[in-house]
Amino acid sequence: MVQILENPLRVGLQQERTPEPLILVIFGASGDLTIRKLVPAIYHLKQQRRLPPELTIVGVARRPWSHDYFREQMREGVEKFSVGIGAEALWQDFAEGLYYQSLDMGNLEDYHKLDQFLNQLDQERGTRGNRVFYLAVSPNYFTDAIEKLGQAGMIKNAQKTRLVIEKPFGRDLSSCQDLNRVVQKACDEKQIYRIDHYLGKETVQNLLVLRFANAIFEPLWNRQFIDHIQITVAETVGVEDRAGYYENSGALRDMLQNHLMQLFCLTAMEPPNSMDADSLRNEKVKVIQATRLADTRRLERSCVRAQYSAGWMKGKPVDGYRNEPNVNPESLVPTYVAMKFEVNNWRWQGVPFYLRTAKRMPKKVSEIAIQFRDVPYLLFQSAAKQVSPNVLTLRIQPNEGVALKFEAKMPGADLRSRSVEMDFGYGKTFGIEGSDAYDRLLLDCMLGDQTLFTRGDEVEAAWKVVTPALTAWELPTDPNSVPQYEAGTWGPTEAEQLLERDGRQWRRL
Amino acid sequence: MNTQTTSVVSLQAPKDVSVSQVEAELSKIWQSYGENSAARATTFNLLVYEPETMGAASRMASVDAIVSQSPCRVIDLVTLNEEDQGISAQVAAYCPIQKSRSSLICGEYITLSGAKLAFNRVHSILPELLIPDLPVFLWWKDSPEPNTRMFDNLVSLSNRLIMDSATFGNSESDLLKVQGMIKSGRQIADLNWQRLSPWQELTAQAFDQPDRRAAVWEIDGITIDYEKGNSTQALMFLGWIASRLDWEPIERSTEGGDYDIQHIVFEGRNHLKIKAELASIPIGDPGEVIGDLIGLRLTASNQNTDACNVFCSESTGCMRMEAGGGAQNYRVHQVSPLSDQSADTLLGQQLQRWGREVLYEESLVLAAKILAL
Repeated sequence: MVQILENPLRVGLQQERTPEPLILVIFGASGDLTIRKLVPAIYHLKQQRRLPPELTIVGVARRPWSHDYFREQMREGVEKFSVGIGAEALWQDFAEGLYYQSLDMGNLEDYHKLDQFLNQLDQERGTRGNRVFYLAVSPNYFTDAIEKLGQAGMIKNAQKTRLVIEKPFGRDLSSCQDLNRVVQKACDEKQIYRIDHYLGKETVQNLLVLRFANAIFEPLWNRQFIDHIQITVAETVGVEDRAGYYENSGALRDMLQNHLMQLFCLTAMEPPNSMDADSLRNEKVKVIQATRLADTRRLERSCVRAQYSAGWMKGKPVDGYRNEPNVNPESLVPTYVAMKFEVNNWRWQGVPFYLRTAKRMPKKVSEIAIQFRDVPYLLFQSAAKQVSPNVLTLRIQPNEGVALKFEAKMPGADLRSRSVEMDFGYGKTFGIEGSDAYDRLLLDCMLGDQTLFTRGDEVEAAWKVVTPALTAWELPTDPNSVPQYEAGTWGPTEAEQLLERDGRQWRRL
Repeated sequence: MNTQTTSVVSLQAPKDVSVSQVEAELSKIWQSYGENSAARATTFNLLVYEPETMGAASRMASVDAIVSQSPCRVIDLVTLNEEDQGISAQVAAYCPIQKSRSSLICGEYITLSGAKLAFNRVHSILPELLIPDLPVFLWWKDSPEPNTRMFDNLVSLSNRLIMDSATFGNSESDLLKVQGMIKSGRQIADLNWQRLSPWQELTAQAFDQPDRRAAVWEIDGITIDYEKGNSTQALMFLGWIASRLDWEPIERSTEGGDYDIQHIVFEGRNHLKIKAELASIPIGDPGEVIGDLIGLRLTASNQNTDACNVFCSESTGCMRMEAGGGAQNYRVHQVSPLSDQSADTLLGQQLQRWGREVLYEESLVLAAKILAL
C-alpha cells in the first residue's frame, strides 16, 4: 500500500465542539459491539482530542469482571480492531477512565448499585451527573433495561441523561410501537438516540451536502428530470455465524427497513429548514408518510424476496442459505429483498424508487443511482448505439464518492457521442480514510445532537411502508415458492422482472 | 447567506437589589413562573468583565449572544468611572426562544457595577454568587492585566479565561502576557484565534491533495499582510504555521516605513532557511475587528514544487499579493471576508468547548519565541 504523507497543516485544525464531561455506561460491555466498535471508536476520538479529559466509561454486563480485566479486554479490542494504541501515555490516561460493573438486566437492585457507583464516579472524575446509557445488548433486553433504568430514577433528568438504542427497533410495526411506548414512559424523546450506523457514514452525510449545499442539483431533483432511482446495498458475505439472529430478521428487517430506508429518505426528502435534529427528522417523516409499495394488491409487482442457493464466491463453492449451519432447511427468511416504492407528493409522483439488498452478491457495494430522463430528441448518434441516460451515482462503499455519467463528443470528424464519467473520490481528494460511522454518532450523542439519529415516529412510519410485504411473507407457505438465486449473482429472475415490467433494468455494478 | 438567529425574551426587566439579596430575588423570579412555562437551566457560570467604555446597548447584545447559545448564570462586572461607593447589583432572567419547545429554558443575569477600586474587593462577594459545581468562564473584555489584584482574583475564580486579542492595547507585550499565563498552567481561549480558522483551513486545503503534500516542506518564504493597528492575528498565524512545519525563529528585524514591515528568519527541517515578512497595511475602514489578515503568500525557491500559493481577502489584499508575477506563478485562493466573526458570536462557540486548545497553545509558544528575538 502506498503510504500517503500526512498534511502537517491539517493536524489538530478541526475546531469543533467537545462534549461536556460525562459517564458513558455501556450495557453489553462484554459483547462484540463494545469490543470491536464502540470502545475503539471512542479511543479514536480521544486520539483526535475530541473528548473531555473527564470522560468516563462504565462497562456493564452480567459477567463478574474486574475493572482491570475490563481494561485489558478493551485494550485488546483497540489493538485488534482500530489503528492501535499509539502513545502509551494516552492509553493510560484513557484506561484510567474505564470501569466495570456487573449487573443482571432484570434485577432492579443491581441498577440502584450501578447508580450509586456512577454517583461516586461523578465526585471522583468531575462528570457532573451527565450520563449516556448505551444499550449494546440483544433487543430482547431493551424493554427490561429501559424500564429498570426508569424505575431506578437513572434517566429522569432530561437535561443530563441520554439513552442510546441499537437497531432493530422492534420487529414489526406493532412491536416497534410497544417499544416506543416503553421508551416514552421512561423518558423524553429528546433523550433517545436510536442509532442507525448508516447515518454516520461520510458519504451518507455527503448526500445532504450534495443536495443542499449546491445550487445545481436541486432544480433537477424531481419528476420533471429524473426517470427513476435505484438504491443498492449488496453484501458478498453469507449468513456466517449469525444464523440465530438472521433467521429471526432476514434482509427486510436487517437492512431494508432501516439502512436502505435512511438512504431513501435523504434522497427523497424536501429541503429541511435547518440542520437541527427536528427539522431534518420532520422532513424524513413527511417523505416516508408519502411513500408506499407501488402495488399492494399484487405484491409481486412491488416486492420480491429470495434466498441464495449454492454457488461460487471468489472461485470457491459456497453453500446455499438453507444449508448454512443453524438455518432451518425449510426457512422462508429472505436473504434478498427488492422493493419498488412510489412517493405520492408533488416532487416524486410517477418516479419509482427501486431498493434492493442481499447477501452473497457478486460485489460488496452500496450506492444510490439517480437516473435522469432521456433527452427529448436525439441529435447525435451514440458510437456504441446505446441509449445513454445521465446517471448521478453516489457511492457509499467502496471507493466513496460521486460520479456523473454524461455524453461527450468522440474525437474525430464525425459528431458521434460516447458516455464518459466525471468522478469525485473521497480518498483521492482528501487523502484520508473516512472516519468510522460510530465515531461520528457517539460524538454527536455525547454532544446532544440528535440530527443523525432516528425518531420514534420515523421508525414507525418506516415499518408501515413495509408492513404489507412483511405480513404476506410471514404467512406459512410452501418453501419451494420462495425464489432462489445462485450465490455470486445479482439476484433472482423475479427481481429482474420487477424492473423489466417498467421498461428498466437493474444496474450491474 | 442566511444564518439562524434565536430570539431572547426577558422574564423580568433588570431590577436593582442589594448584593446580599441577589439569590433571594432570583428565587422569586423562578417561583413566579411555573416549571411548565419557564425552566431554570444553568450549565455554567460566566463572569464578564467589561471596561467602563462599553455602552449598555453593547452589553445587551452580548447578553443576547450568550444566552441564545446556552442557558447559564452570567455575572457581569461593570466598572464605572466614579468614586468608590460600593458595588450595586441588578438581577434579571433571560430565555432564548426555541421553536421546537413550548416551554422556555432560561438563564440568569446578574450585573454588579461599581468603581474599579471597589472591584478589588469583589473576590469576597463572587464565590457566593457562583453556582457551585458548575464550571466558571471568565470573559475578560480588555487587555490582560496579570499581577493586578482584580484580574488575578477573577482569574483564580475561573476554570477558563476568554479574551479577544483584537482588543489588546499593545499587541506584542499583551500576547507575551497571555503566553506567560498559559505557561503557568492557566486555560485560556482567544476569540481572535478563532478568526484565523478560515485562513488556516484554506491554507491546509491547499496541501490536502496527496500529490501536493510533500510541497509543504519546500515553503521557504511567507508574506503576511494584516490591517494596521493590531498584529496579534498575523503573529498567531505565523506561530501556527511555524509550529506545524517545525520552523524555529532565529532572527528578527524591523524595516519600518508605511507598512511597518517586520522580517523574521526561521530555520526549518534540513536547515532550510525560511524568510517571513509581516506587513501592516493601512485600511480606510477596517470594520469592527482591527488587525484582520488580508493577504498571505507562500513561496518556494524550488521552482519544481507546487508550494506557491496566495490567499487573500478584499481587493487590496489580493492586488498586493498578485503583484510582481504573483498572479501568474501562484495558485490564488480568495478568502471571503466574514462579517459574522464578532466577539459575541465567537464567544457562543467558545462556551461550547471544554479543555485546552492545544493548537492555539503550541502556536502561541512560537509567536512568543518570535517576539523574544
